[in-house]
Amino acid sequence: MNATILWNAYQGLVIKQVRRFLRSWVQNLLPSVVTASLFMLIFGHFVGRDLGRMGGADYADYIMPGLVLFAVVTNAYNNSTLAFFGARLQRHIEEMLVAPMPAWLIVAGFATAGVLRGLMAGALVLLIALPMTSLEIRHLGSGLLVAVLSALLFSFAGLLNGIFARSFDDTSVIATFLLTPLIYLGGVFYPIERLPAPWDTVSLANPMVYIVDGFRYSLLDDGTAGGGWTFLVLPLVTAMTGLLAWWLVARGIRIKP
Amino acid sequence: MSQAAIELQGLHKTYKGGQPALAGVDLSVPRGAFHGLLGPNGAGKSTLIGLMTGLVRLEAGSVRLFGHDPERDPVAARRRVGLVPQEVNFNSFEPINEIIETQAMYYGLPRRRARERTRVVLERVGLEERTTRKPWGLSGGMKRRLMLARALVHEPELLILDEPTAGLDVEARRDTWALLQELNTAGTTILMSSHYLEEMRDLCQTVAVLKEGRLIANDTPERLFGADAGSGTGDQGLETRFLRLLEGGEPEGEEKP
Repeated sequence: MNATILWNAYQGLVIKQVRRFLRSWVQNLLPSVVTASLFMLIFGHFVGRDLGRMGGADYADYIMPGLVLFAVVTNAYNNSTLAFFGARLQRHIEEMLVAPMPAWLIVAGFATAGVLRGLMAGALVLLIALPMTSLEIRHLGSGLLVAVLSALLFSFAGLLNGIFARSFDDTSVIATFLLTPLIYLGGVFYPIERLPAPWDTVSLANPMVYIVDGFRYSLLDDGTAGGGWTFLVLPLVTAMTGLLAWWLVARGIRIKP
Repeated sequence: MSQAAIELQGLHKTYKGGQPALAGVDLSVPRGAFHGLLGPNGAGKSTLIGLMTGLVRLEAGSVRLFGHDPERDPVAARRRVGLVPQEVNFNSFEPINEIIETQAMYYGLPRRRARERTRVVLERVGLEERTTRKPWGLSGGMKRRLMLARALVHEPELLILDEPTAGLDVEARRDTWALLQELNTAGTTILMSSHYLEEMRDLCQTVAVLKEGRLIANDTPERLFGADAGSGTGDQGLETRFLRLLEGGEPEGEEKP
């Protein structure tokens, strides 16, 4: 009986959060598609033709996996951050706290919604970008795994931001000054071994390198940075981030006085 | 089976800044009772309600709802409780029916049942013609009715209300009183905080009085204020007698040795 009650509560939270981002789908989903399309057009075609092949692929094909992931992780992150911060700000987080919902269920509900938004945005970018490339998806299973795990990791990370944010400014600071540089410098546009020392080594500390590399392997059958590291590091970091989010919500940090 | 709907023992809470909000409160509310919670601003009424409903972190003491610890067994304890908070705490950008339906699912109702109950409770509080509207356009009284509907959607056995009639006009207040009396007659246990002394006298079977985080009295309204207490401001007025009680006077109806 408890399992049914918890399942209904989880469904309620996911439905609420999905409705929330779909209500403003133009604002929530389209910007990623527009940005990725512009990147594909400018760097993939106009400039990319002069750059020739990279990592054994046309430049447009080379950058596409990174652009899809860019949409996945930024949407997952922003969704969790804004949804959780909004719930704190308007105090409707209390609707969950008074209900028989354990902390892990609240975290799971927000994270699921973030994953769904991230995957929706990624799928839209893929849909728009595929006709501009000659890409064939080589390893669908591992591609899905990397996309889902990345979305989950950044949903959890967004939740941490949503827990600690004190103002709307705080909800964009991490995304702007940390997340975006990590993504841009994470091998989306170039193989990191092309960087001069010590930047090639420094880049290995960027988790996005492994995520992009794993996804590129899935789509192009080409990986340059970590090979199997993606499938080792990504689940581990995701689990740790999720546990931290659960611990903070269970302790009521920034939620309960 | 515990005969008490609420059992509180040794509740302590100190907020940041060091001022104790509650300093060792014990309280027991039997099933089926209509119990009032009275006290001046800052007496600890909302903290007490927050501790019972999971909105405030418990520092010391124990809370049992129908014999269950809400932290250890949230499904058994919280599922039977509905809360009408003092301040508005719903998402103002979400349609009214979705607010109620989601809350029902948070309490474990399946989606179809949640929709049925949403229709029923919105009709009961007179908001049936506004179901798809967003609540930011509602009057203060309508917002209170919406919170009441949300608290009733899962048919709780215990309804906790934190100043539910504050700011309501006379007609809305009387409608709320009628609804609460109807619920109590049907077997719902009610714990209600209020600053309206007439409300306490006319509705509650017993009233707990808090002052500076301590329970200073817990008795029937007749014994606290005297059976002859009226609405005026003279010696027999409720306000006068309440102030006398706060200043350490004997309850008016108490037998003198």
